[in-house]
Amino acid sequence: MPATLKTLFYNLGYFAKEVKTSIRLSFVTSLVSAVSIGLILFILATVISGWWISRHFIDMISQEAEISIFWEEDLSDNQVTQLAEQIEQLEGIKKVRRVSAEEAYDKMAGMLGPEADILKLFELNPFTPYLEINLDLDKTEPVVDTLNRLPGIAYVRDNQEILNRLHSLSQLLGVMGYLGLAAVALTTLIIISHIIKLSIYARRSQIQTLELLGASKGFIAFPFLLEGCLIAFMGGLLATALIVPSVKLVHLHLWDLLPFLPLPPSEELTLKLAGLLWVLSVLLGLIGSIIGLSSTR
Amino acid sequence: MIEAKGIQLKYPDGTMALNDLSFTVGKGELVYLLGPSGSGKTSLLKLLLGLEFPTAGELRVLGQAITKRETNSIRILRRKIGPVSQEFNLIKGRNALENVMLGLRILGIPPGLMEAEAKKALARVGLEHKYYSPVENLSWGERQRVAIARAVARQPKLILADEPTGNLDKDNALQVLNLLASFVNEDTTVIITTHATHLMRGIPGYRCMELNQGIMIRDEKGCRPH
Ligand SMILES: Nc1ncnc2c1ncn2[C@@H]1O[C@H](COP(=O)(O)OP(=O)(O)OP(=O)(O)O)[C@@H](O)[C@H]1O
Ligand SMILES: [Mg+2]
Repeated sequence: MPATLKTLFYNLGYFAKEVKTSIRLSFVTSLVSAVSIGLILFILATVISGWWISRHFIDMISQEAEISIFWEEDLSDNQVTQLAEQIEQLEGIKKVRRVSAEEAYDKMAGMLGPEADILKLFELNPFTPYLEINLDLDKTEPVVDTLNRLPGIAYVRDNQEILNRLHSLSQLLGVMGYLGLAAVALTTLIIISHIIKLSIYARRSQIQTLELLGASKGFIAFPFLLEGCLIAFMGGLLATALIVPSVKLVHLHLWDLLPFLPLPPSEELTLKLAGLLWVLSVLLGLIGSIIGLSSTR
Repeated sequence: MIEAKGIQLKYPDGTMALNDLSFTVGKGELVYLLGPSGSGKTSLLKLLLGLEFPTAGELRVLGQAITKRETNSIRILRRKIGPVSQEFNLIKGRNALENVMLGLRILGIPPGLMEAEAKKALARVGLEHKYYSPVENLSWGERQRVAIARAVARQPKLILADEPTGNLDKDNALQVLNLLASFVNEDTTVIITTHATHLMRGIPGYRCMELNQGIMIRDEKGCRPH
């Protein structure tokens, strides 16, 4: 509808003024609404950052996660290579790498750090070579099953337990995230649709005049849509203003406490959060005002 | 321009506001719609604006059928009508110019032209010195003229004025009636409801329609009071 668009475009200044008037008329209500939306969005943002961080952990850990395979001592070098190739073909396997006894020693020395001197007590290298396998987290179980049945394998060591735990933690956070999202969406929609209904009521005589003059439904509705989006977006901005320093603070603390935690960079996290909050708030504002508008007709 | 065939308007509460009216109004006519309070004058104007729908009969305004099914086309019809209502329907807190511009905003014309047309219309009703006065600071007569300016700025094909003299003293009322009559031309029809039959002697009368209890009891050229 280009004619309608033209009408909207020519009247942008008028619409802005209408929104200003409307918000000024019910300033306290608008402010309280924006602040409440900001606070619940902030709570949602906290849960979501928890979820994202735990997902990040899982990604990191499952990348580092490895199944170690120790082969029967009587296997020849060739046979071990064949075994490695065979394993590489299995479904869900990302990478197979042969770790020599020396490397295993160095690895442990690295892990022990200052206490690595203990290793010097051994006359000979106490470590045996093994195959280090990276695989998809959710494929661990079938892969371990298959490996246990392969000939030539003496022992399979996996860290399924710990991964499973992390997995269910992240799932829980994910569910909480979705529930939080649903709760926030519902609350925001109720607040926005309510305030829009109040605005419509406050300006019902003006709407009547516009109807009388032949204004289209879109023309009448537009300032109310803008108003809803604006108030919700104010909430989004407030939530961003709260979550960005919080993430930075928590980050610093965690780094102090647990320096080896693979935290995602805080800039990336806050950028993603801000984007989510802004889009979400405008979207909810829009839907909320549509609900407010359609429930008054 | 307007064709009514046996139209009836019965409100949901059972009030029969208009009963079996048939008439046509052509281009460029000036019509005074008379009748005592409660006779159905406002109801007839509401039908012409598509704010109510005939409960029987057929009504066409500028070729547009007035039926419930046509609400979207009726919105577009309204853009060709200049309504001046009993309550003025001006937006409080906005100045005269902005109120007149409101009628033009809906038409999708560029802002500069909108303002020029609005100022022209206000000047035509003698309010060029009140462009920027908030409407609540204006006198009743001035408010009525702002409402008229809003209606005529759109160069409507049909001007519908409901009791435009209602709150005005004799001089102002006469001025407003004359002003409205001056907008009649070969393209524009004007319909005015009024109780002020005693003032009509002073203005060129074209056609009088008189209602009583929803029935047309007079429809004639010339408006001699009986
Ligand atoms: N929305 C409505 N619902 C029910 N009855 C109505 C409604 N509007 C008007 N009426 C009735 O219809 C009849 C005609 O009313 P209308 O307003 O058309 O009269 P009018 O000629 O304009 O009167 P006035 O000169 O006082 O303005 C009256 O009896 C009135 O009470
Ligand atoms: Mg009336």
